Amino acid sequence: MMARAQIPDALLAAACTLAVFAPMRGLFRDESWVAPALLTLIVVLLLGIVGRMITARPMFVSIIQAAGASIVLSWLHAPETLAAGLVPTPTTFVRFGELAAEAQQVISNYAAPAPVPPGVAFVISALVAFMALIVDLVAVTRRAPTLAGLPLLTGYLITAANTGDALPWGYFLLAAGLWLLLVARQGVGEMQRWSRIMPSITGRGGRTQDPTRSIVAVAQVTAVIALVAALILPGFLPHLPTRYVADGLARQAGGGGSGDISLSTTVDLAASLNDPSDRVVLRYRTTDRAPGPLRVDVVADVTGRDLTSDGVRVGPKGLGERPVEPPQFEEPTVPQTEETQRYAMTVLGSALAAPQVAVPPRVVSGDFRAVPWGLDSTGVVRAGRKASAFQVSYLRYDPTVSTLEAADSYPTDGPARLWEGDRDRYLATDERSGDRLRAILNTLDTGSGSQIATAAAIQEYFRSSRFRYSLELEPTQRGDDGQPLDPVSNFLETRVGYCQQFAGAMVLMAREAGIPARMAVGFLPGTPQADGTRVVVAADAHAWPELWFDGVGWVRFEPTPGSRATSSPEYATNPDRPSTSTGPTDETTSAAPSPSSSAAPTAQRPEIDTETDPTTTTNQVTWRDRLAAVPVIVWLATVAVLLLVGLGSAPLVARWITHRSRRLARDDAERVEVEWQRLVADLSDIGVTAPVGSSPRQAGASIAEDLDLGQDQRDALGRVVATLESARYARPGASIGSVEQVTRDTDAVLGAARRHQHPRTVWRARLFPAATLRRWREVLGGRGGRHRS
Amino acid sequence: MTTVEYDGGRAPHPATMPLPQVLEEANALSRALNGVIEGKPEVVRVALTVLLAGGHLLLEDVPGVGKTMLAKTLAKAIDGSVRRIQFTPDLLPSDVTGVSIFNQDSHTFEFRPGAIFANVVVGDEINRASPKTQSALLECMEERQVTVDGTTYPLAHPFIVMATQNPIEMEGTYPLPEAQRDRFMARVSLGYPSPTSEMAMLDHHGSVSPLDALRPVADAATVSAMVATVSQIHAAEGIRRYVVDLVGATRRSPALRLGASPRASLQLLRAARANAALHGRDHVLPDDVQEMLVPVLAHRLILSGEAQMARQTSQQVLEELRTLVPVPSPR
Repeated sequence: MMARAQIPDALLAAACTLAVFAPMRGLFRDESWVAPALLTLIVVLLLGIVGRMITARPMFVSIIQAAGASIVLSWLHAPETLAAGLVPTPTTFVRFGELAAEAQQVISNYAAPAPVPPGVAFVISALVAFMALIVDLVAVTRRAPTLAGLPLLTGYLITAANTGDALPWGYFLLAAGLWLLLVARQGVGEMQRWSRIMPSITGRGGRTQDPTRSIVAVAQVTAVIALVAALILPGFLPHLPTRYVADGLARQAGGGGSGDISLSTTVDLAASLNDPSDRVVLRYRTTDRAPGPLRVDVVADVTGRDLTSDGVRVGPKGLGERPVEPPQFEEPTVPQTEETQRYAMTVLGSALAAPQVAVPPRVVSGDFRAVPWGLDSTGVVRAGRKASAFQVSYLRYDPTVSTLEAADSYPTDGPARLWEGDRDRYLATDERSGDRLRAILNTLDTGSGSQIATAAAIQEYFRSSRFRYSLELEPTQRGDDGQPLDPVSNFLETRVGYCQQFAGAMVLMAREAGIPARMAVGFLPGTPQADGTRVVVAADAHAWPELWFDGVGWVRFEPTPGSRATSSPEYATNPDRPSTSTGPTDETTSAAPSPSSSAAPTAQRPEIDTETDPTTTTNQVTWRDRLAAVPVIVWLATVAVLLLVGLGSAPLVARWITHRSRRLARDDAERVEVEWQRLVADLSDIGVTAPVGSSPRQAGASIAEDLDLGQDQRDALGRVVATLESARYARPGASIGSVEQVTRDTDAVLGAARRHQHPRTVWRARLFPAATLRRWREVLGGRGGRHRS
Repeated sequence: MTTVEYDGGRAPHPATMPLPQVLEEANALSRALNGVIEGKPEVVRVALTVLLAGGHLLLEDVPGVGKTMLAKTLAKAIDGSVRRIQFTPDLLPSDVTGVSIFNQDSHTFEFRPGAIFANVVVGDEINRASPKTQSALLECMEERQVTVDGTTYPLAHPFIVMATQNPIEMEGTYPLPEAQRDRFMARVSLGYPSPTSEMAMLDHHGSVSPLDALRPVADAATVSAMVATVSQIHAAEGIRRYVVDLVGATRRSPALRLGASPRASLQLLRAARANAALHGRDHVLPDDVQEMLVPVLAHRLILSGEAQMARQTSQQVLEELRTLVPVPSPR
């Protein structure tokens, strides 16, 4: 009974579950969930041991564990609903539902690290209990520890997919090591039982040896080879675009198998930035030769690591077939001057899920081909359904410094003024980082003190060498009060971050300076291709601040230095400060680059990075890009064609093998032999085989027995066997009968056999005649080969 | 030293006969034997096969099941010289082979042939004789000749030794040496008769011994011709390879300490030929080989310790090997 309880295995399985959930600590702000989860795990473990002692039925063991876990969960998480303080009531389960809903709310609203309200603690405990139960059932009760690797891996991936950063390798090593120990323990146990029941048959030269030894040797060699291959092979295998194998591990919401991508505004952008898969988000063509970033969404609350869309979400129902009436500007009062250029953008393929659309700001008209679309309250373009191909025309507005300076003196009743409600929202500051931001702001040389000069100084501050661009953030610092710093303060302290930190900090600093600001989220303009299109991949995700200038509208800035950003706009790098090379006299002439002037980008775009510079990226179009650019349908079609060809070729090859064998036969004896081989192979394919050591006569008897042949077929089979015996064993030159008759008899027997077997078996044999194909080498090798009847 | 000519009816180049005639004669012999040995047609068949293959037969079983009766019946059914040796612990080799005696009259040594000089030699209870005497049979059986005092005397043709022995566990027996056992083509056990056969036996044997009524059905020359004919039966290359594969498998089997010898391969093929002839075929089939596998090989094998511990018998090991060794096919 103790042996059936399998205590060591159960302990190992529980340890595996624990190890898999250990990295989850990084997902939450505190560890109040750990104790309840641990308690639940222990309950499941102990009940498993006790359950196996009581009953041998796996189902009952699981039921005992599940019931016990539910009761403990109710004690821990819903004690107020219990009857007599012990027994769960229907209210308990209602409470469970509420807790789960709360957890869902937290999970969808927060990125790691998330707070741990009771709901989250409950869901984690329930998850741990469920996982422990599954692992215990599979690995211990059902004795299939290998299979338990799947749920364990799932559990591990839940954490791995949500941390945003790479998990420390130690976590994986611990979980994998424990699991391997579990597998090995039971494997060795199985092996020992084999050695007891297996007769020693694998001797050589009369010596007897432990039959398990050869199996162990094979297993050891296999293990070593597998390990070495697992370490070495990834170094050599080409990294194919993962969308064709598996669409990543759902690193972003709406990802998964559909191939859709949605730029998450609720989760840290780092996930998208870190996405190594090169999955193509967008492929487009534009008449603008130096396009700016493509905007997907705008965010007002930039204080945390979480970004929440600012726009009023417009669902598919809210959008009718409402075309945008041109010229409908995002800021309709922007004068259409020579600073405004109109461009057309043709999207050839977009993987963004609805309602997100990646387009430049200031879209004036569009053709979304039956997909309802429109602008939401923030001027962001939304689509009712996934728009994979569409056309828009947009205005690129590169205001001059003087235009922007005019914003300071814009009349308060002017038409192009931010609505007061919006103004408050876009001026909201964060008290946690306010002091730091103001302190920095005071040290900046804002020149004339105009809004544009201030904004340029702020951008200049972040673009300076003080800050370093990195997707790996430094650990959170602690403030003077000993509490962890808020993300913006932390960024200002550590001075390490990526676009999201830079943009967020600039937004807040601009607000401190009294300039309404918001964060735009979207993509870099992508990599130009040889065919004139541009390809945007997931790793091109980007965030940048937009500052409001009365009379002008939202103006893009670029505080992010380094390669994963666009160039700084002209107006921002050209502030009216004496220290800059561009004097005030140049201001009026330094108009925004026109399409023609941007053809020579190096002069005006000194800070442009190599990844986005068209002159250097054109020759970087690799075969992988081309592979990634092939539409999925083409891949599917190719695979389908290959499958069809593969399916069709097997019977053809088999037919050819028989044909060739017949042609190679030198005399009637060999022809009879070919027919016999055909009979044996075809029968073997439909699952009828004679015992190994049987003579033709015995094989015939066994086949007749297996197939329950009628008298006619029995006679036919008898004739085939008799002819074969004559052909094989009679004196050379003796008459062996008619080959044609043998062929007819063989066909008759095979026909009867096919009628006797299940049609599915017969069709499988027809499509893949394995036994015939096995003779491939013998036939290719010509004569002289030996094979068995 | 002179060679004393002894002609025991030996024909150096026996004539052959058509296959149907062989079958006919064999059936006559079979009927005669089955008339005496009730209910054991398969044992009779092996005995006949060994006779036609020109081998020697070892009958091994507990006392009283009719071993000697079978040997005597076969001997009597053949119209040839028959000698019976009762092996005892004090039997001397010279009693078997013969001895040179000094003739006072001629002042020469004269050879007195021993019991071995006959067409059919019935060696009763062979394992009761000392190993020395058993060894005297070695040369006779394999080379069909006797050498005494440096003189070689050929034996009769046909020449078949039919020895009976009790299982070696019985008291007062010397186990037959491996070399001796290897010289017997086949070993058969009669086993107890079925109740019906035993009832019939009680009826028949009560009044008169059926052996007394038995008349010879074939003479020595006929048997020689049958043996010569059987040796001409065709064995295809596949059959020879099958024999080699099977014998090779016994040498590799971990269940066996001693596998079958090359002599065993020869005798297995000869036995298979005889079996084919008894089926009226002029060529050997794998089935013939399989049929003779256990009678021809079983007594030559020595089980390994593990197999003995597992209470396996050499018959079981051979049956298992037969299911493992595939029948070769050409091409």
